[in-house]
Amino acid sequence: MEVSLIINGKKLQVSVEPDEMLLTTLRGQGYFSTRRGCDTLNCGLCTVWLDGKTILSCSYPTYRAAGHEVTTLEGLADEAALLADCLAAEGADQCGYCTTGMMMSAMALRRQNPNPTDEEIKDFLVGNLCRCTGYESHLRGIRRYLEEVEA
Amino acid sequence: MLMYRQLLQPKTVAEAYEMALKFKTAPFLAGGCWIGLGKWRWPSVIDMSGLGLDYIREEDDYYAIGAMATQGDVERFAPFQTYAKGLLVKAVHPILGVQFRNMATMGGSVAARFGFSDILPALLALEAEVMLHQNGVMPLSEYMNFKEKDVLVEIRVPKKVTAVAIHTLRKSTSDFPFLTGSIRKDETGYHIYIGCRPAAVREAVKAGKLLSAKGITTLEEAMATAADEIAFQTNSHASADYRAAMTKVLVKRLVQEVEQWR
Repeated sequence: MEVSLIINGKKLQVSVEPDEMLLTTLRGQGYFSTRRGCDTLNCGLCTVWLDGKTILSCSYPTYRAAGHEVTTLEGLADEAALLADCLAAEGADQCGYCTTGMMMSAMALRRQNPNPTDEEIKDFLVGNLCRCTGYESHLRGIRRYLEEVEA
Repeated sequence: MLMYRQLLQPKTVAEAYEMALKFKTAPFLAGGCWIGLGKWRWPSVIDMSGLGLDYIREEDDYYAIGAMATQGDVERFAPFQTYAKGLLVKAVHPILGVQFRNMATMGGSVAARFGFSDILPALLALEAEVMLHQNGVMPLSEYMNFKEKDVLVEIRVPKKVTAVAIHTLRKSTSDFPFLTGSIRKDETGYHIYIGCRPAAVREAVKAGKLLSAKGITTLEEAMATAADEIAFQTNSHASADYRAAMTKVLVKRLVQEVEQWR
């Protein structure tokens, strides 16, 4: 089926299978920041924004994204670079596999709540799993990013 | 992973219903949050996303939650922050992560009558009703055992203020619960609901009647009655014995909380 998508502000016409998931479509179009992890809605690696809200693209049928604004990390490059620096500075980038999904959530959090408490950060990131760091470094990195954006 | 060859895209609820009758094995695709669990293969699925059911509205006597409204929509709906002391928000918030709740629909949870649902006990405590395309409005308590094929259009949550509470027990944050419970204390007495048995939520009728008749001095007896009258099973999250033991704790907490309702 033919689907019209808007990815990072760019209009795109793609031909997809009815049961193709958005993650597959995005990676097929070269948006490799969106990663495949568990494929069962648990790990958060495939997090993208749909009209500004975070969703898990591994289980979101592509046809449903038609007419909605899809945002990937590539569409937030400048801000993502700042956040990546902050995460790296705080040691939150060991294997780095969870990082892109974590960043999509952290940047969505800033838009919803620019001054979150540590508990609110943890609560917002519950859907992003990391098997390396124990999350404390993510917490420090995101806190640092929020402070730098504020400054 | 869910696989299907044909995607049926009705534009109206009536059309969705007709398709469900015609394509008898085709499931409704709501939020699709269980797509990744298991290897599902269907010749066709009926897509619910084009029916305009992704609303939450405040009516005179009730809140109408469209079947395709997400758990995230419920969390963000301003009146639900205070209605029944935020019971519905409290029910949906522990469910996995933000991303999941932005996809999972209320109708999907209710129509599937999932045993592990955090939402169903809360809605039962609030005396919610469901509106079905063919069978009209019926109490959710009745819908729990309703077998006919129909399309769930909306969930109606009455605005009346009643003392209610929910509690869930889970091994860790964002995990599925291994036991859920809710309570309502109204002019008819106490109504206690226990879910995640792991089967679907049931009312602990005898325990509620005992408390209603003799008051909270019989709390210990009511706790044991609830644990005894509800059937529990063992799964990967908890054993039947553990669920029964923890039901006593859950009932105690629920009753204590509802007694402090002001």
